[in-house]
Amino acid sequence: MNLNELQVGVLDLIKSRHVVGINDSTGYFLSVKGSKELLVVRKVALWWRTLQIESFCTLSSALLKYENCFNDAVTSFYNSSSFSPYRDEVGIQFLDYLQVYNSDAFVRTVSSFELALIQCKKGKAVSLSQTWEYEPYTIISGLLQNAISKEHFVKGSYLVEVCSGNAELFTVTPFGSHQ
Amino acid sequence: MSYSIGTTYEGKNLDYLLRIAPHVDHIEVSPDSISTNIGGAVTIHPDILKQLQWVATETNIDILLHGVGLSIGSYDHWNDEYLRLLDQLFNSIPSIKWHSEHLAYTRVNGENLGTMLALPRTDEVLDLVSERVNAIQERFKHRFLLENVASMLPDPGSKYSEAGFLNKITELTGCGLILDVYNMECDAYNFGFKIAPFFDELNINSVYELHVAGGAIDAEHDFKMDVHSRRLSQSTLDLTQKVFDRSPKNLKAVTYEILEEFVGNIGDDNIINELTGLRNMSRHEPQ
Repeated sequence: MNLNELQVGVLDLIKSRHVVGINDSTGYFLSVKGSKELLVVRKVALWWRTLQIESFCTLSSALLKYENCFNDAVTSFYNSSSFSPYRDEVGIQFLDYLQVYNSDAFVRTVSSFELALIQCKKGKAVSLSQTWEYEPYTIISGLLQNAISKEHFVKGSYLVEVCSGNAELFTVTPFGSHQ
Repeated sequence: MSYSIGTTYEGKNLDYLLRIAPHVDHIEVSPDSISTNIGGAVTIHPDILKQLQWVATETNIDILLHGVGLSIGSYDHWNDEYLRLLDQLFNSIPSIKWHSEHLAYTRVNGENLGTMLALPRTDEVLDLVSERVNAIQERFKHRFLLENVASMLPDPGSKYSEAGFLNKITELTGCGLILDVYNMECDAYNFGFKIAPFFDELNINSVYELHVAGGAIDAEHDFKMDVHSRRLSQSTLDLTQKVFDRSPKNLKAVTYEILEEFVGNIGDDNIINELTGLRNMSRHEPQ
């Protein structure tokens, strides 16, 4: 087995894909597939991604944890995407990923909101308008404290706008209060 | 005998840097960890670059670079972006003492593995790594070191012993080594790696720097983890002393590696105590 075959096979095993078209005459991949070491590799890789994502995507991470799907989201992101080795880029890629692949509409809303805020802070031109079905400040406060609960989800209808020209980064306007 | 004593710094906590500054001769910085994305390009974070320039010009602390993401052993290609980060750092801080990378791979076909894996010790890898080390040394003109990594997966079949392989690379390229003694302990625990014969075979004079760290055993899988999350254990200190006792003539520095996320858990005072302990050890004559 040459280096090419070894590394492609290991990549497939780590990302939980089928190892296809690779000569395994020594039985190496078969032995690794059922090994505790492979489980450790995956655990370490996910631990690193979790560490990077938690510290970069505070709001989305807290919401996903509240919904008990943070680990699943990180695992799905890890297995399916070619993420950057750099922390800041991984965070942005994760937020992008949530917007495309997460089935929860409110997770998609919060992740796009958080991404817009991050881009704004980085000096990028951003203009985002979205509708929130809950009172945004209460939710954001709960998420920032990583202490979100059912009580934070106060029903309503709000226009949330993130704009790079806005010194406050974003504005919240209750629907029906437009002039 | 007295070695430069230092620790990891990831650029995000200036108060911490100022607190440890009187206790270190060098800090070791990972270009990957201090990078950010500006305008679609990966670059060194401007604020952190300023901090490092201040360290380089206004203090007696040396700066060492220690990469994570070059992926020197990927069969297809290494990470060009990482080399551009090095370009930026060397151009901005000419006094950087040396730089280093892990003898490992972190990506395949451009896809990030999310962790770092050891390479098989074969002639194919020896040729690949040596060619790339030579290219790095040609490009940067600074001393370059390779570090032994902790194995995560079983060896797929190697021609060379661990020490024999390191000896070959250093002979072929003239690069130096970082010997990570905690990684050796991980390999001993997880894969039965024999440390004494390794020391007997290794050309100890290739070692320019030691890495020491404190990690933990993953109870679920009974696996010793290379996580840099704790204080140093006595076994790591004993192994460090064994290296000192061999009087490696080119050993210059000892670095206590700590992940930034665990600095708070370990505590500044404990970190300073560990650095002081290493300094005291390094001042003793070989036993």
